[in-house]
Amino acid sequence: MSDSEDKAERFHCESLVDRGGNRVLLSAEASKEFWAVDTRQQARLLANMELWAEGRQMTDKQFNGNEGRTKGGVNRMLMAFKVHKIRCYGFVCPLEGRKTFVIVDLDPAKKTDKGKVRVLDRAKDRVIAFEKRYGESYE
Amino acid sequence: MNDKLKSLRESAEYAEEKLVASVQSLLEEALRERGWNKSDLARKMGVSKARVSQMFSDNQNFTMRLLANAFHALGEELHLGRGSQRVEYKGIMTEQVCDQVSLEDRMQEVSHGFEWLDHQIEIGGQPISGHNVIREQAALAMWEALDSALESMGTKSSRQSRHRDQEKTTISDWSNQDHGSNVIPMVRKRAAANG
Repeated sequence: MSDSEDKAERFHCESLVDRGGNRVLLSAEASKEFWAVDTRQQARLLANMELWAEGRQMTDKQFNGNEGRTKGGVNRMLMAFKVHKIRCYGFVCPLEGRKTFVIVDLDPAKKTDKGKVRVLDRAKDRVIAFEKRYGESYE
Repeated sequence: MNDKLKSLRESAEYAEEKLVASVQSLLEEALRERGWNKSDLARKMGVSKARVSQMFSDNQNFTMRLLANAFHALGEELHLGRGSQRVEYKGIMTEQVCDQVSLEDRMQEVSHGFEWLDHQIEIGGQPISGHNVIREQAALAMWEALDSALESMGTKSSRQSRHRDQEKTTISDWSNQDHGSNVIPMVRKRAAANG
């Protein structure tokens, strides 16, 4: 097991991408849904995550940097990797001093261009839960 | 790396999607640098906006020619590399530089390859000649097609010796002039592979 995977497990996540000093982690809550989607969609999402980690320019069909902010004392911007009708929701935090995108939720069958409110709210709740659980150990 | 992630990274789907996503990222970057939108690019390319939008779509494919046209319209040149080399674009080749690389020789070389295979070459029904970047890209695409055709016929050794001979008169001349490595990476790489 690599050092990156070992550290990811401390946060109950699996490491999907680790490059350019940045990384993308998949939380346990979103893991099942991510691995259930079609292989091509997984591949596309992974490619988009790598672009993000490398700091490359992304199109609005690949990434949405503003899916709304969380409330309730935790102020984080919800963001999403996108492919066709699928969105991987997450947020960016300085986990262990490194820029890290943590995927907390996944909407595998979005019907409209605007994210489902129910899934968005659930994703925000998961961001807050993650922050409260690990926020103090980020650095 | 867990087994599922390893399997995904080794899949053909990942290879395809990674390349498409990367090219889309380069196009987006070039557009933003110029402050262009997709309509501007469509106008420069002489195609519909819908056609350009397709290039940024998740589930659409685009042709090599369309891609070459897009980067040409942006005043850029897309370079394709293998292995650890990455897709990137550079400043456009000038007409003068294109002349220096003896494009006609390379076209002729490709043409001979297809004749040798008894294949017909057509690009939009036009004869293959000229010194513009679009055709340079088309030449590179044809090199790839020729390689595939040769390999499918199991004639790799013949191809290698034929290329080696031709490089003595065309490609080597170019390389010896030390014009830099970024202009015709495919040819330089081929020369290195053939020793």
